[in-house]
Amino acid sequence: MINLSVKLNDWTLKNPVIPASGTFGYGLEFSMLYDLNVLGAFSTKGTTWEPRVGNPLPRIAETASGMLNAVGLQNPGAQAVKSLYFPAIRRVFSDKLIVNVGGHDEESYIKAVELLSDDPIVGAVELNISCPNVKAGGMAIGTDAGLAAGLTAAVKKVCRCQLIVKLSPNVTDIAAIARAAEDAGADGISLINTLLGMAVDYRTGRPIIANTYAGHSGGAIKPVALRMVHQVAKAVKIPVIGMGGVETAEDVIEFMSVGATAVMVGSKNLTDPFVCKKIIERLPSVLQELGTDDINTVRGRAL
Amino acid sequence: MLKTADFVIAKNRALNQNVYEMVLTGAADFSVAAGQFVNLSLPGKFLRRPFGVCDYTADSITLLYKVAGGGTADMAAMAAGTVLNVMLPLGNGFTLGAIPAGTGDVLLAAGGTGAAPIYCLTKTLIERGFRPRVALGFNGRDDAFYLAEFRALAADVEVYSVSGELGEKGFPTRALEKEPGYYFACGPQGMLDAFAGTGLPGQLSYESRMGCGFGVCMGCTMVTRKGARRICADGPVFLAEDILL
Ligand SMILES: Cc1cc2nc3c(=O)[nH]c(=O)nc-3n(C[C@H](O)[C@H](O)[C@H](O)COP(=O)(O)OP(=O)(O)OC[C@H]3O[C@@H](n4cnc5c(N)ncnc54)[C@H](O)[C@@H]3O)c2cc1C
Ligand SMILES: Cc1cc2nc3c(=O)[nH]c(=O)nc-3n(C[C@H](O)[C@H](O)[C@H](O)COP(=O)(O)O)c2cc1C
Ligand code: FES
Repeated sequence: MINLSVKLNDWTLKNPVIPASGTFGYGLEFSMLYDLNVLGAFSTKGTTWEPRVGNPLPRIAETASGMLNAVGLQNPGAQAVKSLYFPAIRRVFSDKLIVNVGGHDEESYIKAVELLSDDPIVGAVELNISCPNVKAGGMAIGTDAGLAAGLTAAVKKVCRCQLIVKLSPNVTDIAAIARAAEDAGADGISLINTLLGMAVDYRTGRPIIANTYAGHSGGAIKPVALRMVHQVAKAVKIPVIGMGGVETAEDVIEFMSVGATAVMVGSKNLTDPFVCKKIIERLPSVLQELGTDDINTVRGRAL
Repeated sequence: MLKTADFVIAKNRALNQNVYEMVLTGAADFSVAAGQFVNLSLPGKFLRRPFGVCDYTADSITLLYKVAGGGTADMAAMAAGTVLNVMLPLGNGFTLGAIPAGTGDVLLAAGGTGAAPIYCLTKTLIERGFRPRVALGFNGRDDAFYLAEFRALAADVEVYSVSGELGEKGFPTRALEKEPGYYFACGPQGMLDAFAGTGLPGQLSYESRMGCGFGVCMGCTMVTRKGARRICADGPVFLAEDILL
């Protein structure tokens, strides 16, 4: 028997594969494609206290081996997510999920976390202090160790489940931000959110994305993501969830090798909706090839 | 039921210098309807490419595509026999039930490759006993395509061109000079705005850059009178009365 289960502190996931926030909606569309119960967990679309309609179109562009998005945290608001989406998810998913929470100031984060973390379906809150597509909050917090620590500590007081802080890669010293979050009480770190990028139409000379700048994701960012997960895993003791360009079971092993306990799969869900299921099905044979029957043995080999 | 499946290119031919017709054959277990679209995975491209369904049989789908960039240029060079992964069916098609009973004059207007879903709709409406009036718009003579195919459906076909080289001079919005009882329109944004601006009852098919095409990334949201709606999953067809101009 091959063991794929991993532990995020006291939460045991049946495998380390977690669809990443913003690429899986609230799971409901995917539940019509495959049984969500094969997943370790999943992370919801970034949810804010107030409903948000997001940014003007175009919000999407393609890059070499990846994509740009400037969605801008479009979501129906924390109350609707709790009263409408959580019961619907419960019908198709029997494990706990990760709720990704965004905000524009401390109060809006606190209100959303207080409301959402109280629901038994939530295994962890993923505090999004790294969204590059909103004016206030988001990345402005995640690129400043002091602000990141302040918000983490404030949210931790009201959070009734594990608190994972999701970091932005748009910084010079990612380890310092990770340590600040850990010291402020984070139970885990997830990274990386998207890298700030841009696309231009050579014909018009204008930006393709209405918002000008957008978040870069997909295979193109994997080397940066591996490097940052490596730096953070060396800097903190709490579990690290790695992501950025994960598309295959081999990618999952690579992220665990640089210290990740679990791995999130983002953009690839958009182009191959079955990718997470395929990765989970393939993981045992990759472990067999590596001569191990426990996925936890691959963790940290590159540290 | 949404699925991804490998299809084989049965035919891929140029209709003019820029527009191609591609027939894909595949697993006989799918359903599509007029106004729905498919999302093609192309080798070497990260995002899938969305195209409206122009025609279909039990085991084939016909697309009309214009070379607009790298992905469609690659498609134009693909040989018969090439395998492409297709996600389908996507979006809500045209709602035929919304045509008020007894409406005599139904106008189907297309600009450029908007002709693809409009061809499918023309065929469907004729099968259901309608006698729609079709208005096709092109830039000039060199850009036109599918005129014979539309005429073969025995529809009443009006042609418009910006240059005036072909048919009437102007945009297919000129077809509104004879006010229709109901309309369906697919084409460039300017054309859709002009149709929606008339206040007449009808349906419009929209486009946007898409991350997923099946409703999960929020990359294609448009604000309508009913609130934020995903063009891929809540559209691409919207009722004219819901459009915010
Ligand atoms: C619902 C829907 C139906 C469509 N139906 C048709 C059709 O029947 N025939 C046809 O010729 N075209 C259609 N289009 C437009 C077609 O998808 C684009 O022209 C095509 O994706 C361009 O790809 P490219 O690689 O050649 O261009 P590039 O500019 O190299 O593409 C880069 C990225 O931008 C996206 N993109 C670029 N232009 C558009 C556009 N106009 N609309 C949406 N995405 C774009 C591409 O999908 C890709 O992700 C449709 C679009 C949508 C949303
Ligand atoms: C369309 C899209 C929407 C996203 N929305 C969110 C979000 O709401 N909250 C968040 O924390 N991250 C969001 N992300 C970032 C992803 O969760 C992930 O961190 C990033 O895309 C890197 O992983 P990937 O390369 O596998 O996509 C989004 C990414 C994409 C592509
Ligand atoms: S393209 Fe992803 S929601 Fe429409």
